[in-house]
Amino acid sequence: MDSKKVNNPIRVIRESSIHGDRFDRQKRIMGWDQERISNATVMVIGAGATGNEVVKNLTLCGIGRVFLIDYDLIESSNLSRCVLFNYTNSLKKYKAEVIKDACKNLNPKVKIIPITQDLNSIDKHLYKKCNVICSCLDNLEARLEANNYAYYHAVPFVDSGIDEFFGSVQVVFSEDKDAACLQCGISEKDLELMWRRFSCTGQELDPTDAATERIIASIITTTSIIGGIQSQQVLKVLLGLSSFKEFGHWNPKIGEPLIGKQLIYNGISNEFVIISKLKDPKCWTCSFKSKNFGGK
Amino acid sequence: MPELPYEIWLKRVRNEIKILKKLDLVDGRSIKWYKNSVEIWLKLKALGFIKKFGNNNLNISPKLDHRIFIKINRSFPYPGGIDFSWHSEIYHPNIHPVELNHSNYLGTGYICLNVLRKWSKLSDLETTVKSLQILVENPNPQDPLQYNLCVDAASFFKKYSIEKLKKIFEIESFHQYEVKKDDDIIIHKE
Repeated sequence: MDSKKVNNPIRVIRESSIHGDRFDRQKRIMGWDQERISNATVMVIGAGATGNEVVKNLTLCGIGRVFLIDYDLIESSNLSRCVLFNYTNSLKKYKAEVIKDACKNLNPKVKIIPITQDLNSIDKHLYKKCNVICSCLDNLEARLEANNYAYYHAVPFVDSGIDEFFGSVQVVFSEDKDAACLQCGISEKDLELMWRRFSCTGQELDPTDAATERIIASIITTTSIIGGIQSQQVLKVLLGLSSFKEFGHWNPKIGEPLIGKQLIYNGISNEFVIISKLKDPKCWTCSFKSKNFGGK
Repeated sequence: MPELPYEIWLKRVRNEIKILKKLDLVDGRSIKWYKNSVEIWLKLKALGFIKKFGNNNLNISPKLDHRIFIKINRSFPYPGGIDFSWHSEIYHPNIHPVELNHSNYLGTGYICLNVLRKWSKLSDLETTVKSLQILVENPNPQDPLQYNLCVDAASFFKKYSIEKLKKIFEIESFHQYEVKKDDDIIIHKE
């Protein structure tokens, strides 16, 4: 049927616009703004199991640009839970670069910029250029550093962690003044463990030593659940942030992200629990604007 | 080790040094600012002892002024972000001073104090310096550093406690340090 010949005011949608538009189904969500997603820049730190899921989800959603930071090479043990790695041609290559090549097939319009450096040595201006920062890391040190810079530059930061059947997601955002950051929840034990790993001689201890560091057990089902929740938090922040900055509350159609809260997934009892994190008034990171910072 | 953004780090270090200046432990000349670190020469007042032959029967004499070198690195206040070394002569089981002919100053000058190693959430330079004073005045001979001087000092302090030495040298009381500006925080005046 040709729409020009119909002589009534009812808008006729061509079939091609329903099935031909790549993002048609997600555009049907109330409050969705595809343009905002397509212009956004997201930093993903860590290209392991969760990092794969997050980059895959964001790429398929049609995100604008992704900075992908990981200095690691692919081992055989990674292949059991990473969608974008394959056995034939990705072994012993940089994780970030393999993901970049794999995402070209998923969505050629997305720009993925692989950075094969340690998080300590990247250009700190990169943090400012991002709309959201995502950490898909396995260690506390890098997570805290990302938290510190994201908090300082007022960029929303979505953190995730996994451990066999358990997982957690937390969002940190400095413009929500009462919300806790990751550093607020750090205990003396964490600091001690960090120190022991670094050790007095300046050398890292043997990673096979279970007392100092252990290899985290993980399966793809947990990582895809947590990676899915994490990438949804990224989309929620991207879609709702302008409303939050303008009116002080999040867009009700999109909902509030988990700012200052931690979502804990327990795969053994099939439960999701959300807890509010307490803000530490003497926190090293988020109390820096207070008057007596660092003193008494 | 993680690090704080530069501006937060700078603010924190400045506040710490401000407190040290208020306590009259450092002055402006003893602080050197570098791009990613700060070096501080600290004047510590505490009752310590040095080895001095022929001075008396014990071959020992009291010493009140000490010098400590503190280097604050970029990863401060995370663990490992701060280095301490002892730079004046002392006879103490838990402190080994820097050997003056040693080329690497940070290599020696060990201080055996847990607070220096485990930087906790509530630590700051002020409490650390106070705990250093307490260490100087209360040596722990049960757990000496493994240097000849320290092991020797440990066996000495096992025989003579600090209380005994205070009587021998007729030191009645000792000021830790006095805060000049605030009248209400004067410590140890008997």
